[in-house]
Formats: sequence, structure tokens, C-alpha cells
Amino acid sequence: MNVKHLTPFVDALVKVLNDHGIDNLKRGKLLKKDVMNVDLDVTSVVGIGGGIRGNIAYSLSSETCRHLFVSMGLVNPSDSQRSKILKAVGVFAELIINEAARIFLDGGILITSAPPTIVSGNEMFFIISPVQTITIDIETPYGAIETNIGLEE
Amino acid sequence: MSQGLQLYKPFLNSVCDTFAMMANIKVYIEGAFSSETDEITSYGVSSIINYTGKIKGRFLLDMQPSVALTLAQNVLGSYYNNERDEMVLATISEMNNVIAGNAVSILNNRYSLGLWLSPPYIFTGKDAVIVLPRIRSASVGCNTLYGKLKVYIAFERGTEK
Repeated sequence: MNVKHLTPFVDALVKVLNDHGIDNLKRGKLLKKDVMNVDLDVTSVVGIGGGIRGNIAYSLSSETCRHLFVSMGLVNPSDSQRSKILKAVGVFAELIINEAARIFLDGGILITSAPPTIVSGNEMFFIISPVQTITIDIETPYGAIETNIGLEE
Repeated sequence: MSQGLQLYKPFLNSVCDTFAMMANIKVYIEGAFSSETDEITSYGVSSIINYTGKIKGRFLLDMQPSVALTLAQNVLGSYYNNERDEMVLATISEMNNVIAGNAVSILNNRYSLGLWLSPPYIFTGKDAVIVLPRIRSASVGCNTLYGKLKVYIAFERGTEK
């Protein structure tokens, strides 16, 4: 997997958070995962096509979702309904992927994306790539967002 | 046949054919396609593959763990007792790739849709709920001797490549 193709997905996440007033972010290290066990209960997966093919997954806890999206203005503070929070996760993922697409386009690569799928559950186990998955954590003031990237060579 | 059904049928036929050919499992279709809400409670093991072209959409194959285990066992010739086993999930994922690949080939040949597939992804977990925003799916329930599965197909207008 080309490392140059990984950073736009993380940079895009950071930019979307910053643009919505979420600062004090800490980037973790890039880790190679043989299996994608997710302890966090909400995951949004987006299929990528065009110049790069693969799947990108952003995972976070329900509590992080709630606090983050209220702070970002994606949900109202009174919206505690799970379905509204989960739909906001989809909007959040689309904002990130659109930003990543812009970064790739600046570098001369056109990517397209499918609408996100949001999965909520416990003890989740994913396979988003037949080859390998690269993980990086972004620590926000409201909790961690785990970015999992599985791209085809 | 309605336009939607013309697009859905190759996927359903491909599910039946691929299950029979690769895993020797007969799939019994229960009823007709119906419109789905955008929130789905998973049977236990779910594999999704997206496609893009003149139109774009998503194919979701959702099954009970007992079906996933039997399928992997029949395809690989080894016994599995945990649906979280990587080999089990990789087998279902690849099977989804074959199913969607066959269906997309038929649609491309028939309607020149220029569809291509994203890599599939698969997941399993406890009490999993799947939210599919923006594209409304049609679904059909299916049964096998080993448990239930459900097929979800969705299309929306895309961009020509």
C-alpha cells in the first residue's frame, strides 16, 4: 500500500474537524493490522474507486459521536435518538471523503466514492481489505476516532 | 418487468447460482422484492459491495452465522465453528465478489451501464445495526437448509465515466 495514498484520508479527517471548530487533535502512529477488530461501537465504511480502489472505515464510540456532532453542529443537543446520530455519522464520513477527494485531485488523482454504510454494534470484526489494513488513531477532546484504510495495490 | 426488477434480478439469480455451484447450497427465495427502511438489523454476518458507473449502488448479502459457517465449510472443505474466523469471512466476502461480478457483467452487457465494483467488505458482531443512508434498498428474504439470508440491492443515478 502506497503511504502517499494513506495520508489524505487522515489529513481530510483533521481538516473537517478543524473546520468545525474541533482543535487539540493528536495523531497516533500508523499501524499495520492483520485483523480489524473494533472496540468502538460505531463504524462508517466508504468504498473508494477511480484512481485508487479500496475501503476506508472511521470508527468511534456512540458517546464520542454524540459530543462531537453536537459540537460540530451536525445534530442538536436534544437529539439523543440513535438513528439521528448514526445518520450524522454518514454525513461526517461524506464530508471527510469529499475533502480527501479534493486532496487527491490536487495531486492529480481522481477518486470516486460510494455512499457510506454505517454499522453500529458490539464486538465488531471487519475485513475491509483482502490484503492489509492500516490504522491510525486521531484523539479528539471527545474521544478517539480510529481510521482504518484498506487499499488495493 | 419493471426497470427496478430488471436491475435486481441478475443479482438474485447470481446468488442462487453461486450458492449452488460454489457451496452446493440451494437457496429458496421467499416472496418478492420489497422496499426497505434505511436501518437494517443484521442476521449476523454481512458483506457489502459497491458499484459505480452510469448508475451506482450497493449490494448487501446478510446471513445467519449458521449459513456463513456451512458456506465456508462447503467451499473450503474444512470445518469451522466460529463465524469470526478470518477464513469464514474471507470466503463470504469473495463469494459476494463473485455474485456481484456476475450480476454486474450481465447488466453491463445488457444495458451498457459501465459498472465496476469496489472491493467488498464484510463484518460480524453482536446486535449489529446497518444504516444505509441516501440510497433506498429493495430486499428479498431467502432460506436455506442451514438458515436464513437476505439480499439487499440499491441503485441511484451516478455519473458516467
